Amino acid sequence: MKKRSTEFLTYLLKPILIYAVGALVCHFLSAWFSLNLAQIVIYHKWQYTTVPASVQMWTRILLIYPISFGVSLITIWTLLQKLIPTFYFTTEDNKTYKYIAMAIILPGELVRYIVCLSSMGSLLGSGRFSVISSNWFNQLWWALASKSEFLLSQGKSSLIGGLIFTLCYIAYLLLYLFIVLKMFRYLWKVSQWEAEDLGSQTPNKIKRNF
Amino acid sequence: MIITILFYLLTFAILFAIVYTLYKSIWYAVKWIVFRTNLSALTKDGVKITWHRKPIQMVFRQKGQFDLTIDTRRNTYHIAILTSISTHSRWNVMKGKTHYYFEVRRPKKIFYNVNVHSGNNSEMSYDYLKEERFSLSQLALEENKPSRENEKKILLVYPPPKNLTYTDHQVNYLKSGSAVCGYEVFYLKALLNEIC
Repeated sequence: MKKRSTEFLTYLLKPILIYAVGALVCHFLSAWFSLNLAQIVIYHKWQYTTVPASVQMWTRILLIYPISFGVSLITIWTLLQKLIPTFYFTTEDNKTYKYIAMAIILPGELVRYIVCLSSMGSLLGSGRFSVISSNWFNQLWWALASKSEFLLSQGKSSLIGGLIFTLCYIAYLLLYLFIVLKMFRYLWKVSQWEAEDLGSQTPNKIKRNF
Repeated sequence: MIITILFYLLTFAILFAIVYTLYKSIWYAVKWIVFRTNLSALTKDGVKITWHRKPIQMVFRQKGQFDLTIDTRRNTYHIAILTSISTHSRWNVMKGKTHYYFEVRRPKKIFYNVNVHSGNNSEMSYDYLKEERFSLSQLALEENKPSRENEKKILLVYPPPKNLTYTDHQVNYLKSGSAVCGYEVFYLKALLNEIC
C-alpha cells in the first residue's frame, strides 16, 4: 500500500500539479498578451473615446480569441513534450493513454474554469483574466435583460448570464480539450515507439520506464 | 522600457509566425497542385494512373501505404509517397525492432549555424547534434516482394528535402534509386524520367 501511494504521488500527482500550474500560467499570459496586443494595434485609434461595438467584436473574433487560443496551445504543447516522456510507462492496453490524459488534464482545466468564472469581469473591471471577457458577457446580459424584463424583475438575469457564459466556456473547453488530447495521443505514441521499438536510436532518452 | 521592448518583440514574433505558417501552407498546396499536374500530363502518353488515397489522407494518415499505381505498357509502379511540410530539414527513415519510422529533423540554425560536416563519424557530427525533431511517424512498409517481375514498389519523396538519410545503426545517405525494405527511393524528376 505504501509503495502504491508513493507511486501515485510521484507518477500521477506531479504531472497533475505541473499541468494545473502550466495551464493557469499560460491562460493568464495569453489573455493578458492578446488583450494588450488588441489595445496597441487597434484600440490606439480610439484611445480617449469609446470604441465602436463592431470594432470590439471584430478585434475579439480576429485577434483576441485566435491569439489567446494559439498561445495557450503552444505553451501546453511544449509542456506536454517535456511531461509525457518523463512520466511515460509501458502498457499493453492502447486505451490507457486516454485515462491517463484525462487524469492529468481535467483537474487543471477544472481549476482554470473555476478561476475564470470567479474572476469574470471583476479583476481590473475588464475581465482581462478570463478568455471570454466581460464586455461580451455584458452585451449578452443586456440583450437578455432588455428582452425579458420579467426575469430581470425576478432577479434571475445574472443566473441566466452566468449560464450562457458557462455554456460558451464549456464549448471553448471542449474544442481545447479535443486538440490537447490529440497532442497527448501523438506524444504518447512517440514515447511508446521510442521505448519499445527504437531503443538506442532516439536522441531524447526516456528517464523513467516501469 | 525593457518590458515594452520584450512585448513588441513577442508581438512581431507571433505575427511573423502567423504569416509564415500561412505562406508555408499555401506553398505546400501549390506543390501538391504541381505534383498532380505533372502526373496528369503523363496520361496523354497512354499511362494509366489510379489514385488510392486523397491528398489530405496522404499528408495526415499513416505514411508508407500505397497512394497511387502507375501503369505503363512495360511496368507497373506501386507508389507510396513520403511527404512533409518541412523541407529545410533532414528526413530520416529509421528501422526499429518491428517497424520502420519516418522522422523529420529540423536544424536549430538560430543558435548553432554549423555547416561543416565532420568526417567519417557522421552519427556524432555537429550537423545532427544541433537538430530537433519536428515529427515522427510509423511507416506501413511491407517487406514481401511484388508478385510479378515487371512490378516495382516505389517510395516517392516529395517535395525534396535538404537531406534524406536511412538509419538502422549508422547514418546512410539515400539517393534516387537506392532501396529501403524492397522499395526503391525516387524523387519526382527521376521518377518521371524512369517512366518516360
